[in-house]
Amino acid sequence: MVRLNNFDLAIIGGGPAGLFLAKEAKKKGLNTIIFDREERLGGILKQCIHTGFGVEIYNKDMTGPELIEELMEEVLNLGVPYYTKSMCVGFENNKLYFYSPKGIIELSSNYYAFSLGARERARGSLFIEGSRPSGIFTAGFAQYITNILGLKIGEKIAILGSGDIGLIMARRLTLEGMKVIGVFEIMPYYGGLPRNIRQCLEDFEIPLYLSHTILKIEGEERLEKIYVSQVDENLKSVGLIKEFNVDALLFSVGLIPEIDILRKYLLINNKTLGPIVNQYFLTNIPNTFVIGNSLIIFDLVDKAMKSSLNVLDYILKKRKRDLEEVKVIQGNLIRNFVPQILIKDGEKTKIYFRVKEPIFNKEVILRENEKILSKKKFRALYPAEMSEIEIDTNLIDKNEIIIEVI
Amino acid sequence: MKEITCVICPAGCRILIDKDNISNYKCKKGLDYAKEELINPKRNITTTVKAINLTKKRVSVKLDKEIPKDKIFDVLKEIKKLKINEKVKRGEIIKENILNLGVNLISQETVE
Repeated sequence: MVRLNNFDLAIIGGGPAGLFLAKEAKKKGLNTIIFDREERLGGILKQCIHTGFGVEIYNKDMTGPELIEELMEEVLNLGVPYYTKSMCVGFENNKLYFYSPKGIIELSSNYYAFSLGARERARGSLFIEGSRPSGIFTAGFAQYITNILGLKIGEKIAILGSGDIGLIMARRLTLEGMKVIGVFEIMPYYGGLPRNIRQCLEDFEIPLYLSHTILKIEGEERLEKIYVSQVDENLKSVGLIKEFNVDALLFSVGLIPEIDILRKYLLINNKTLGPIVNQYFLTNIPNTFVIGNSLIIFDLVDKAMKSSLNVLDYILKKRKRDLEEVKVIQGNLIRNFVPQILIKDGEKTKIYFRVKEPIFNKEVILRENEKILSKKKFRALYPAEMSEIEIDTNLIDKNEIIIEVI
Repeated sequence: MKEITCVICPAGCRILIDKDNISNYKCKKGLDYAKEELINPKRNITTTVKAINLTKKRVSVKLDKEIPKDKIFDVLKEIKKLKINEKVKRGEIIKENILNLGVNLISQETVE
């Protein structure tokens, strides 16, 4: 067994959030180490060959591979050690255990930051009737097959769900010469960013069917046909059933934070499906943070990266123990948010949130009883976007505040 | 009357274009975008090129400038013909001046 000791900060998961935190932590003099289960660092961005990354952090519009390569160079130049092909398999008595090509690694560090990314919701979570032919993929896996393996997933493609990965894939497969017959979205509004609707669907005249869902999947060995119907406001099927002949179907129906290795210890928030954290992304496990998409599904990579610095803020400032805690409660039209707990340490901080449905010309507020502590106006805010609102913890008197849309 | 979704910021304004009259935009950037879309819509494209005997099967590539929207599929056809069989660096030109459009195809990544 390999024993690694005396680290200040161990980062588990070398995607954009983990690498960015590693870079900044090392710059601040922390003895930092990175672990990743894949052969190459970089996480999901390795397969995201489209642009739109890095605008906030690098002030330029980069592709996923470009951002990762630049960030990796910075991290490696700083001399941060890293272990790839190393899978975290245990967390006992404040020590982490990994399976790695060097055998089992036992790691002890003062602090741990988990940046494990997310998993895709798959067909199994939707209860669609029919057979189980080949040709059915999650959108992210189809992206891997297309961009990394360079293989073709089918000829005629349908996409269920209008999340950003599905929209990006609609364009990507069209560019590769496949026919995308439509994107079906059960909600009356789309799930992705407006600009992706424009650039990925409208540009290529790919139809978007709002308030539509797939009722049945048919095919002996390979997918042959899907049955689609409109839904009413209760999301129940109404009207005519349309048939589409397709040989591939992508699911772009949402991401779930990946935190399996910590599940038995963590308190989970039932809206984000990630851990309950305070404003420094500290979990209920002592000295253990969760960042990036394993905390809450971010809309932009830059935000997942930047927010990971909250961890560093906590580690570098010596904080008084036993500070009073305030609970943040979900109010009107808020889908989910982090943090769910604020330590009253007299500092300003931010709450990251998403709305349940598109809102126009409304305000998001933080209040205790009827007293408004913070407010922010929005001309337009879509469920696909994550936004943030500032709060000065000095202003809080009670032990509970509410976040809501008014 | 044509309706386009502005992609400049996340607000995603639905800008209306009626012959030469542009309306329903909320900022100058939006107006400029709509004008450009009206006269000469341009796009960048990203895709991959087949790699031979390298550590990856595909190399991610992009164009160093935007191209007219109606040239997208012609350019893709040219890119499909390419193969990369030696080490390539991020930012390195893989093919110069594709279809005489004045744009180069460049690598997104270093592949050995």
